[in-house]
Amino acid sequence: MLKYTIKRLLQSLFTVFLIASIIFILMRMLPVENYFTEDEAMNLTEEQQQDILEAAGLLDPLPVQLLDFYKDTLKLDFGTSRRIQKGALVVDVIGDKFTVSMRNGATALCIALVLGVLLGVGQTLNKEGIIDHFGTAFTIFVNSVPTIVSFALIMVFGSKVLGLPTLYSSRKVMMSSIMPIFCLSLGSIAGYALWTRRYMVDELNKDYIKLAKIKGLSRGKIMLKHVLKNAFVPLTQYLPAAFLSTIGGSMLCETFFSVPGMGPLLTTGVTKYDISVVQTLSILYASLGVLGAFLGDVLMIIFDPRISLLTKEESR
Amino acid sequence: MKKLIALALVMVMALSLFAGCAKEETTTTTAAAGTTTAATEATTAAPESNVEPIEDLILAKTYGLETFNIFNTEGANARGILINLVEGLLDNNNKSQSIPAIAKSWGSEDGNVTWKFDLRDDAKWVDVNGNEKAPVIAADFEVGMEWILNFHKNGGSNTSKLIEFVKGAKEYYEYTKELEPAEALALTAGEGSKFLELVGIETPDDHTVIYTAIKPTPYFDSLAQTTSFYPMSQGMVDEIGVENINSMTNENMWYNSCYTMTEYVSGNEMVLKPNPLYWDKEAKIFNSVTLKQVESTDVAYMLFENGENDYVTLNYTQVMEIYNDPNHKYHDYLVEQNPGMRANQMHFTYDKYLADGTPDTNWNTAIANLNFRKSLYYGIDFLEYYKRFNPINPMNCENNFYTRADLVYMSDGTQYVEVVRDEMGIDEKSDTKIAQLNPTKAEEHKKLAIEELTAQGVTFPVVIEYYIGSSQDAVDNAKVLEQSMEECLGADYIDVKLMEYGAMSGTQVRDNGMSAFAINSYAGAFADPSTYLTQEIYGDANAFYTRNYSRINNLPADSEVALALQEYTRLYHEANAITDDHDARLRAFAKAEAYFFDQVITVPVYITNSYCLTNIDLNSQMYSMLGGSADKMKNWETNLNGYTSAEMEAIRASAK
Amino acid sequence: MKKQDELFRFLEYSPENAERIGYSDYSYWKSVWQNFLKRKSAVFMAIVFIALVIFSYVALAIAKYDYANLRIDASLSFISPNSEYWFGTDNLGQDYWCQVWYAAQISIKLALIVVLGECAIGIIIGCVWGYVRQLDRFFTELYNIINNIPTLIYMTIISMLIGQSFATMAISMISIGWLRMARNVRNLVMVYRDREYNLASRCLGTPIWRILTKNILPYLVSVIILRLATSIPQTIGLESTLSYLGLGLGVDTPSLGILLRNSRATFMQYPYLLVFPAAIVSTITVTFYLVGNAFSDAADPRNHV
Repeated sequence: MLKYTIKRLLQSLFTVFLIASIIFILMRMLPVENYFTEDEAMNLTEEQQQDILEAAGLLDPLPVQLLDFYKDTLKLDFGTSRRIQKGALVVDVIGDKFTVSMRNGATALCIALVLGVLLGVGQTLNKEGIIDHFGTAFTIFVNSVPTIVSFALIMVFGSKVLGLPTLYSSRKVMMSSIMPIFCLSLGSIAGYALWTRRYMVDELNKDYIKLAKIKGLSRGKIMLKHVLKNAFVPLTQYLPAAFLSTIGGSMLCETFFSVPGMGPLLTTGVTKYDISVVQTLSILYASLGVLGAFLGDVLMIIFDPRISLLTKEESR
Repeated sequence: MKKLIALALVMVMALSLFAGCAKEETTTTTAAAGTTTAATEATTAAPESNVEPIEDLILAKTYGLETFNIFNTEGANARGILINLVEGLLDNNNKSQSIPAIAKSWGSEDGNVTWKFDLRDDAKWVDVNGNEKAPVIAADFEVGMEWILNFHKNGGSNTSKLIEFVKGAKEYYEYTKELEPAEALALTAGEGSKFLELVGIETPDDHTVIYTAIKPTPYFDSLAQTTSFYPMSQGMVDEIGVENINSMTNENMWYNSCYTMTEYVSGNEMVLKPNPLYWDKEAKIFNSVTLKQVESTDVAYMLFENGENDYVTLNYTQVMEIYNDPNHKYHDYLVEQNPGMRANQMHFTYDKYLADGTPDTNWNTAIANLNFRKSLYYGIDFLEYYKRFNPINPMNCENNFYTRADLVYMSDGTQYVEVVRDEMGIDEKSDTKIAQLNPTKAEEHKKLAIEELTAQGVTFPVVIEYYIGSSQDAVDNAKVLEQSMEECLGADYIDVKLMEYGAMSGTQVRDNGMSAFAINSYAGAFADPSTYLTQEIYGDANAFYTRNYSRINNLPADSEVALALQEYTRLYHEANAITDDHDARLRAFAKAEAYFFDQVITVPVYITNSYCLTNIDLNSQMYSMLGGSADKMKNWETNLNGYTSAEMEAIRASAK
Repeated sequence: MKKQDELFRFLEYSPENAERIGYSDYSYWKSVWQNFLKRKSAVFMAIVFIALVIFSYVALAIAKYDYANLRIDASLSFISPNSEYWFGTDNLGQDYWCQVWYAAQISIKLALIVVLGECAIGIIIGCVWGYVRQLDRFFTELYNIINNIPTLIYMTIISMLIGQSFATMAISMISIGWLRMARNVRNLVMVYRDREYNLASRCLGTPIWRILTKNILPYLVSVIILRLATSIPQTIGLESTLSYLGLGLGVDTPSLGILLRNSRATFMQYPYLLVFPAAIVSTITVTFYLVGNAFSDAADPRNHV
């Protein structure tokens, strides 16, 4: 187990390295014209623009830039933002944004997990009954309205009918977080309910459950100890990744409610050509993603001892 | 064992989550108590009297703030916020005249070459809490200019006006560019510095700044309100450290304008509080200003409805909705915005390329033909397009000139653009018909163009690729324009094809010459036609539109269009050389501009003139064609109950 | 010894003969089909969906206005549905009926192409990934790399390199979407791979592809179908998010996502602008959800006996 962990982590490091390099090269494929805003382009001469690009090292050959990038990253120097917050260290740009994102995201995740799994279990227990139909209707509603429209609906309803603050405010965090968190969890509740129901129904058909029924085990016990537990295994794999990815926030939700989180940073970074920000965020998200996948596998092995990830010589 | 690990993992996840929640909430809720009640009381107070001034202003912005160093941005958005925090020599009033700010009097005694500004002695630098840091002295203007011109400090931003007008600015900029970054950062504007040796700025005492212009510049005072002439305190540079100035924050920067920014939450909101030591004690300043960053004008509108916003620009759909419904709660509150400062043109690309990088020969040949251009000039009826911006009084959007109207006046008070109108021989302004529109002439030129171009092998309809952004408004505007163009000139003559920028930036489309035309304009920087007209001159690195939009420099120098533009450039330089006679200068510029349109290098299109809902008296803003001071929240008249269309009209009428 | 050799000899392995030994009248897909037909609501929705697709063509044929020749007329904007404009008009005064149905066609086409593409690639790669241990590392690495590069960066770069069009959109969506499917399949394959009956099968020398298709794939069908059913509304949703970011299908290609996005500012006053496209999206979603669930229940071999 320990050996596997170390091996896996080393591999992950390599993955992150590859991703960072790929992103770096992809970002350099974007044309340098994007570097200047219309206002800047209007007021800077061609020569001045070239000077700026040169000073920023953007005109060096790609391998040289890549090497510089590795050196800086090893020194944990992630560079400075060029457009989002001019001249500020990327670390400062990110600042405490991730705590806001993570707080909202993780709360939403917990709510979604609890409600989603409960709904899924309810649907399975009450298959073809009212709860099942309600769950189905809910899932369909959530999925059929595109996020951007449902956010607008929620915003109108929340601010006009319920009198909630329209936008996030750092002065009334609790109240103003209700709508963003609700928006974030809405889709996931439907998702978790759907998959819980699916896996549980699948599990119910298995022979050992039939045996358990014949043996006279109580329905509740079968559901809780066997069905839910086994149905939960495929879900567990995604949990750590889902949890870690809340750091990244949600672009749509955070832009919509003006939440000062990480969500819009990457989009703005790409569209505004803020390379350092994009690279740093990519490295961060990649590391979290890889870590999440690893933890997911570990969790899955723990929950289901039949699964093994180690290559055994004898098994083929 | 495995179960234990699993349990531990889950526990850690859950704990860290709740710890995170708990911590955040306790820290923020304690801070919340005091401020929120005040804000809600102010916005929800029931209207009794008709006029109820706003103490705590709230504005919704669709953008954030990218820097606190006003020198380091060319963007109007950032500047609009930062001029409330730092102040320069002059402001301007809503008649485009200069009014005192840090400088209390100014003038030139030697034929507009050296300009002397006398500073007031009660202007102070303060920190974020309003504690005095230092007085604003003449040397601060040297420090500011040194900062801008120092390539390694400011990266070339805001240099263009200094380089064009101030003696020695270019030399100093070039000098710093050659230095190593560390050397350049060590430079100052102090006694005996290279800066003072090269650049035409002097400070005989703490309250006098004297600039030396490159050539006689009668409109130098209108330049002095631009960012390039703002001060910066050496004390602040020393305190923060020269390498940290560009990344300074609201916490550590020094302020000298009417507000300080006490709170800044990136992507969320900014709170401004009055600067207690601001020199203008008479000025009306808000008790607090909250700038909320919102996703779109739709959200801004919703905030306005909820009383959480005091001004919202309406888009076409919203205006129509309110206008068409007499029972709408805002039906009487539609207020025409102050007209836009840009005189938008349809800028043709004469050296256009297709998306695959090959030249668009068909279009390039067609647009090089004068008759083709004239048919567009006389033929396109922009009325439907104007309605996109102003569905109620579309003709208010009319624009027939390259220079923005209301920017420059003859000495007898007539508008410069009226002189241009006479030169061009187009109709007087009317409420029904766009002055340049002339279908008969358009038909004549169209016939000639078809004849000549068919001979040159051009296929009709000429495909016109027009690149646009992908917001719904941009797409709708373009669709309306497409239909107007095709219906006015015939779908067998031109075929407008809308293309989306998509992943490309506007800059990229422009630099690759992909769009057949673009509709936009330069924003005038100073009160002289040259601020506009210089953008189109031939073969000049500073002529933004020639270089980036018309791309005529890329054509053979003896081609018809290039020759026309050379002639225009000659007329322009001729006019620009006249510096002693204001009227003669303007008349000469008018001649150049008329020639420019005679050759239809661009087609004038519109001036933005949309509608808004406002609790702010738009007439009380320092709104001028120079842009500069309009966003400075000083002496604004407000009414919590909003201004009706009638009220705002009455105010505007009485102001005239 | 000699006698032993004569009594027993090695036979060439023949799958057909092996099959013949365990022959019964049971056909997997036939059972799936029969079980599926028992679910009346799902069958009904499936018919509705097919009718919807057919009707989208009929609707355009009988429409009073042709999508390609829509005229903008500000004076006709926001007319509520009536006998002239069956679905009313939009903010530009254009007939909404033909826009909605045209958009519906495009969206359904895009969703189906994307989902089928995702499935095909996802299942094949997922099976190989889950079954062949030696490849697990490679695929996991590939998955990690692709999965951890933000979608936005991909979409930006793809649309920048090949431009915006229907095909680009489909390709870029598939090139990202297959991952989820592959990962799902891989996990399930890993669960079933080492079950005893598969071990037995391997010992008997059954080829890998046969174990995959006959022993493992039937267990995956239900999950695959469900993923497919949820992917369709997701594709429509993703498309509208991309339009919001300016990475959509392009100006001249309307989609339900774009219509819904546009309705967002006006749905309070003119709800019909939201209701019609939303109703179609809902119908599609409901169909695929019900059909997907019914089909996945029917596809579970344990329900067949």
